[in-house]
Amino acid sequence: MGHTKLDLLQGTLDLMVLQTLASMGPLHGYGIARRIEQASGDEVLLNQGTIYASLVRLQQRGWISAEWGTSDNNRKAKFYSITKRGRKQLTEDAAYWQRLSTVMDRVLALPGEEVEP
Amino acid sequence: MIDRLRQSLQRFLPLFRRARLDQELDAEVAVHLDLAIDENRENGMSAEEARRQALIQLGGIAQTKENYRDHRGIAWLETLFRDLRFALRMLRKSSGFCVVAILALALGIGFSSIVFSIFYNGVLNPFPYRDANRLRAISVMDDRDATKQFRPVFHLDEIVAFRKQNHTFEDIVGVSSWDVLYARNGVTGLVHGCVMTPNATEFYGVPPMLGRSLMERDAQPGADPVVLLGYEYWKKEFQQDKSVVGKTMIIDNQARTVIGVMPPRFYLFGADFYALISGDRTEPSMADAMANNAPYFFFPNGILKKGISRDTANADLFAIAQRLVPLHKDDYPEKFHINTRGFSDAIVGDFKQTMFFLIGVVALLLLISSSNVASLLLTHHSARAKLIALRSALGASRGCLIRQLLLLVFAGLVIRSFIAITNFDPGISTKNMFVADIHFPGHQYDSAESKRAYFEQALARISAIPGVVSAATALGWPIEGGPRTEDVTIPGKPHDKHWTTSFEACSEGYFQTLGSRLLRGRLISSSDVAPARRIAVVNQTLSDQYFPNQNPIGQQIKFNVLDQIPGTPHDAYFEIVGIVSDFRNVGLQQSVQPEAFVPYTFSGFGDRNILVRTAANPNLFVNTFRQVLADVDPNPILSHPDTLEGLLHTHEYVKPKFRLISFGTCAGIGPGLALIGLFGVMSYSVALQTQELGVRMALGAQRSDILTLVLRKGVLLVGNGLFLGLLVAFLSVRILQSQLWGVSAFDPGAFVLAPLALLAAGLLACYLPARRATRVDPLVALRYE
Repeated sequence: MGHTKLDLLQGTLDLMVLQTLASMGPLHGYGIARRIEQASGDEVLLNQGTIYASLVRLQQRGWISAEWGTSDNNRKAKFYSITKRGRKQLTEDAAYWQRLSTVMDRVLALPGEEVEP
Repeated sequence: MIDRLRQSLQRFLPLFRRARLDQELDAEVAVHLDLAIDENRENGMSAEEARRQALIQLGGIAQTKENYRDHRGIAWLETLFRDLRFALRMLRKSSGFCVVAILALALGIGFSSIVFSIFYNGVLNPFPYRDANRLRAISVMDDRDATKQFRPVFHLDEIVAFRKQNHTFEDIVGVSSWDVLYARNGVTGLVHGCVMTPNATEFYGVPPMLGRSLMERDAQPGADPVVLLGYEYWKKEFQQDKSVVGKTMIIDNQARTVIGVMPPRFYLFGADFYALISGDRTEPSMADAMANNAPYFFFPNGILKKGISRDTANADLFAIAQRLVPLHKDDYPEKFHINTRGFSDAIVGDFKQTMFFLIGVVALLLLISSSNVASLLLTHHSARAKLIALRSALGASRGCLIRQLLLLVFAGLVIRSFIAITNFDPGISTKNMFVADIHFPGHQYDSAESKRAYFEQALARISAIPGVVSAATALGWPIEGGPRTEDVTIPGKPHDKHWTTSFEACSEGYFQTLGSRLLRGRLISSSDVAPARRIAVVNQTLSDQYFPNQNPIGQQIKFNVLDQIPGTPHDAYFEIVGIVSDFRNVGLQQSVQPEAFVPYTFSGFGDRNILVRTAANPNLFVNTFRQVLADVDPNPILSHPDTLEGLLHTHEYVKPKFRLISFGTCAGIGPGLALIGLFGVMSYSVALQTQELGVRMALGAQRSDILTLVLRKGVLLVGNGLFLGLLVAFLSVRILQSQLWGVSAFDPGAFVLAPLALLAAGLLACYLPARRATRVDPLVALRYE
């Protein structure tokens, strides 16, 4: 590993979980963690355990729901899926992040000697 | 909504389900590790390495759980605090709004709980009796006129037959009122008792509040005479003295032991006391009535067996009644059937309708107040979707206006109806009229001659009292009406339907005392009274109905009911000598019925009333009257002294007054609520438009333009609501018909005034925000984002 992994900004994990569930459908905790790792190209530093804190938070806000089910390899696991409200939240949060990242891109693209490597 | 509920539940559940949630997490983490190990092994790791890597990826089992628990707890506390903080902030920030919202809800909820408790006690659970929902009143119906009950009362032997021979009732009881003399501390008065068949205690199933119940053995021959007191009487007469149990009361000239007191809700017959009677042991003062086979005496109540239909019960009792006909020929119409109806229908009657209606109105009120709060909330803090909020608030306030108008129209109608009743001209003057009952104990005054001797003196002396205009005696009450006969016989006028008539037995001063006018012929004179001449004066209605386009004077009329009453002239024809102007005779609300007046000396039966027209408040004369009457003879008892207005108040105004107060309160609270709602919405609407208004003013719009602009919006909203409200009111007002009297359901007064009142209120609610809008500083408004 050539460089240090990214630390997750506050609130980004929740958004990632929501997006993952929105695009992949119901998943168990491990599945979600793996998807996020894969999608980030192993760029983020993810303690998989923190996923569970995120999941309980999202569940309490009513953005995701959970149900016990059976995994592909026949293990009993808790499957999470995104709720209607969760989708709404996702749309709003995603729009916010996109705007923010556009703004950041623009700001950072300003020419300036100091930034020059 | 459901989602919200579930979410809040979920928020609290962790408190109670901590252990289970921990278990679930354990299982989840275990699965996580297993899945990770599986994947690692597939990637070629050794079992041990796979497990090590899995744990690293997870970040440690203990940490994961710790982290999870922290978040679970924090998330919960966090949201709770957030909600609390938000609520408090809102409260502080907009205390006015909160006061209004809370007030609106409090009014709605408070009023509806009051009405519901009345509804519950008056309609849903009006009686404390056992199996009250299966309690039935039994009556004989005449097939010729199915709408009227022929009689709701029966002979004791009929009730015994019903009780023993029926197959559809668990039990049947007979009850009757029993007004008797009660001597206490040397003063004799009339008390209102209730006698019941011996099975009554078990039948009604209400235990006494004090002492013991009446038992079957109390009705056995030779048993000690006992009496059970009613709560109200115990409260009034004995000041709730508990030591009254065991004491003796001289009732009906017989010493009776008080065995107990019934609870307040046991109000059968509204009696002062209760006693038992059985076929073989009759009370002394009733012995006559029983021996004479008094026509109608006991009200039967039955408890229907479970699952028995009304028709089955009716048929069952009819079979028994048919066998009773030969024993009581005069007491059954030629063709009849037996009807059983719910006790509450028989007693509560049309009060039920009023209550159902009131419940509806209150629901409306509650709806208004909650939709108000909803629209206030919407307009208050929904910054995200301002327009949506405004639109739904406008919609809500239109709905609110519609309901409000409905309520106002209803209230207007009820108020008009009450005014109509209280201002109604009953045909005679009700002012300064003293009325009282004269009770004749014993047999001293049983003959017509003795009654005449008594009243001649009594009326002369009362008339001589300064301040008395005139005095008379009668059988019934003016306006409330006298005895009725279900049919009359007029020679040469056979008729299929019943020709009912009230008949009044009165002294010669009756018409003068009441103030009814002679239209034709002559009035009853003292020379008719003394020899008890068989003459009658009839009212206009009787003349119009039974002698259309004819002169009734000189015709004969027979009141058939007299044939059934012992001690009255049987087969007696009265010659009609005069016609008097109509006045109400079956209560204020019903139209005038045919009525005939005959000399009171036609028979000596029963107690009589006296009516005295005074020049001043009749209540001032009560003691004088009592004294004067005692001078004539101390034995007859003056009871229930009252004024005619007081009597009407008790009998005629109570229901309309109840309606007035209840509907009036609803209607009074309503406009306040509507104003609140409208004001909130309009204020918000103006606030939203601040920027636009600023631009307009910057471009040169005058204040008056702005005012018009804002007002137009409000007026449009109000007009819209009013129009729809009127439409709904027109369609639904018919259901109110039964609650009204003397005004049309489409009374123009109510239909014009109510919308006008609401329009005025609406305009006010719009005007204030509109005026504020004109004060907008264009600069501020433009800067406003």
